[in-house]
Amino acid sequence: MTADTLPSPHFAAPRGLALGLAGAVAFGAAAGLGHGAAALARGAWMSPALFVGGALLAAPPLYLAASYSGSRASAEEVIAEVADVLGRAGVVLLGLAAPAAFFSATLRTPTAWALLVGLAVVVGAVAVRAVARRTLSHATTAAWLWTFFSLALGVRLLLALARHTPVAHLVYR
Amino acid sequence: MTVDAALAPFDPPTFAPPPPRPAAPPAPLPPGAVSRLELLLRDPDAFLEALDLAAAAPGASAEMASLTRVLVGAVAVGAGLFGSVVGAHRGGLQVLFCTAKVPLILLVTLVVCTAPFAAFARAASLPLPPRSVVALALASCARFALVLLGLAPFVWLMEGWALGYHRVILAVVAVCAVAGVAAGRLLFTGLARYGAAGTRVGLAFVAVFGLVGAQTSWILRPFVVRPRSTSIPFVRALEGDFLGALGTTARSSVGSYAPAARCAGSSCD
Repeated sequence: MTADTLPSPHFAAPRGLALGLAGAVAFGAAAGLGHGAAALARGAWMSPALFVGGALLAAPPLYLAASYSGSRASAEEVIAEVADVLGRAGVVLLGLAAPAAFFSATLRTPTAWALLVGLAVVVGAVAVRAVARRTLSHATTAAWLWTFFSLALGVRLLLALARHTPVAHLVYR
Repeated sequence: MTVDAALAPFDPPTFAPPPPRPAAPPAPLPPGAVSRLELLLRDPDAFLEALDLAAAAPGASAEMASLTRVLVGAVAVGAGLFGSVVGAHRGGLQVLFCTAKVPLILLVTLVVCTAPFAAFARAASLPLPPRSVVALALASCARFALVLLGLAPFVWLMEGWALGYHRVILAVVAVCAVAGVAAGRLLFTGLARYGAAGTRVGLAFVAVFGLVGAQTSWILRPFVVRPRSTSIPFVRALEGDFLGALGTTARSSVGSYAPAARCAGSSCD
């Protein structure tokens, strides 16, 4: 699902940020629900670190890409677009918190990790693509470059966060 | 006189095409439960129009509550009877267990997946209030259950041919796939009215529903019990997952019992 086709109503930037944060916290906490309080707390900070942190890290290069590719969008407008997509991703994550809690409580194999991380990756990837299509619609090459850069940033962030999870030994042998 | 002119009196008379029919106004939901379910099965487009009409009517709450009761009843009865046919493969208490468990799969999955569905619709800015989201999802589940009920004799036939445990499971999966297509037709017709964004919301919902449904069916197993099992619990301990088990079953059904494919623990039963 992409949010780019139906841009209205836009979430105001603070509201989008708050929704993104709330959705990511709810999803992360729900994902850790079935594995004790420590996992719940870990999920509650790691998920926003991934989504909100990723958005904050990818926003400056987005503004540079937009301005160097001839866009007249101001920094405020770029931030508003990022916050809007982040807010929509937050709503989706809030909705996905129920299945995440269900899988966390009932799935006791490594598939659970793969499934929950996979869900987060899909939501993140769709959000990145939506931001690129909205802000860099006039410059296809710049849009794809920024998309790949942001996805690489997301993977880097995910690997860094994986150090704090029980599956760290699988990632860092 | 030319040949054409000579044959002209024998030509069939040509009529002007009939004027296009004015679009009929959407009909309201029929009053009886059976008529509503028949409309749901036979004419999804008319059902969706009637659903929109009911949701927008002044006394919408009472009408939607009545429709919800009918749809939940259809899920319980349709899936329950299908479950009893599946349980009949083993017989005895398992018939009763499956009659209760198959509707539970659908209802638990629906409860878990309604929030994501509403969230997807909200994030995509679809003009679809949460009440309509719930009604559409529930109607799709009811259609799924009714098609399962219609195809239950096929499963019974497969059981009667003594095709064995694994092939009966594959028959059940195939019947569920057919019912899934029927349910998807209603869901996607309902969402496609909101453009490409609606279709994408439907795809995202189906992906989540499929995963949750598979896991729910896994935690509520057994349904078709292995012949060598001596005891049949209502549900088994939490172990393994659906995808691994489906792969094992597919390999076993063609006679491939690789060591890696052998199951362990109570899931073997």
